[in-house]
Amino acid sequence: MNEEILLIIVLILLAYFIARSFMIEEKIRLLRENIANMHKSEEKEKIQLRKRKRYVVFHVISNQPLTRVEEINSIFSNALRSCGGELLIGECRPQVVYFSSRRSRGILRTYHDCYEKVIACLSTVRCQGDRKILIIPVKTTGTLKKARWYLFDKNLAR
Amino acid sequence: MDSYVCPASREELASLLKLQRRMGYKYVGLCVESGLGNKDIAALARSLSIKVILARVLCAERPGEAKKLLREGEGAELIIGRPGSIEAYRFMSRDSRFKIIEVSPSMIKHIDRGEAGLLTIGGGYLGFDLKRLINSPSNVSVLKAFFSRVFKWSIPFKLYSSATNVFEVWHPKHVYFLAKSMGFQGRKALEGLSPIGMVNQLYSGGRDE
Repeated sequence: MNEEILLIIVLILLAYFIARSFMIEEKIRLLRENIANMHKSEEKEKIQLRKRKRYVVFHVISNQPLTRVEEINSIFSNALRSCGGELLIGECRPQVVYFSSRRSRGILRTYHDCYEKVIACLSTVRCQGDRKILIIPVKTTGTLKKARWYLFDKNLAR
Repeated sequence: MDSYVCPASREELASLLKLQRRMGYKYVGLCVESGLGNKDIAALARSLSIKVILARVLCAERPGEAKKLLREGEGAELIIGRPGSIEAYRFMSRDSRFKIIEVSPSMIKHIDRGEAGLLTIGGGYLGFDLKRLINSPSNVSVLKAFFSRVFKWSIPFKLYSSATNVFEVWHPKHVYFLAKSMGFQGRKALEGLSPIGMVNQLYSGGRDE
């Protein structure tokens, strides 16, 4: 009788330890999953930190000929400085990446969250010293490749 | 539609209309004071496939003065009122002969429910001269107040350039992005550039004829 009771107790203890080992394994698995998820979210944050760019194709009408990218860049930065201040320039970092004097068209690079502000600011600027200027936004794209395509498009009412 | 442009010469008008046509405008309100002959304008409009409407701006301090100017100022299809006082502003809003009532910065605070009611009677539009932004970009706050009030009371409105040369013309995208940067819907702001329904075109060209 005593032996049977002892056997039952041993069996119960054995079952307890087996169950506990399974629980520990499950906990380790959950812990591993959590660590993996943490790594994934960190990667996501890294992606979000990199701001998306926007390329604005613009058409320029001026009473004096414009030839160099630096010239256009200085006109744009002066215009934005007068309209939105240094803060806007620092936030949006607008930069003319290409300008064709033959077509009077160029590509302006800025960020996706502030290209509207940049265009709005440029719309109010009509003169720079003696130079009269009208900047018309033709198209906004997400890639430089697509923006280049619109340089050849003659339509202003897109 | 650009409701009001006022070029100095025929060459200026031709380049202005050409650019506006390229920008997608189909109607242009031309000031009667431009001194150009009707035949000249008609030929130019026909060649560029754009509809030109003769417009006149009437500035009045008092309702009586506005009435007098209306009697004298014939020959314009589109009359834009520029009130100098609140009385003239209310009078012009009620009068159906004034199609557009231009709002000055001091009049912005008077755009309210009562004004919306008067404009319903008169069938006109509130107008904002975009040239104010070119002269002083700080007037953006005035445009913002104008937009917020006309959108709140669902008041019909028009935006126009008062351009004297090509460098003062506004592209629809300028208006769109300006409204968006202020936090409004760009498409709603573009309603300000839609044609005025009740105006008959004096000079028209293109496929419609």
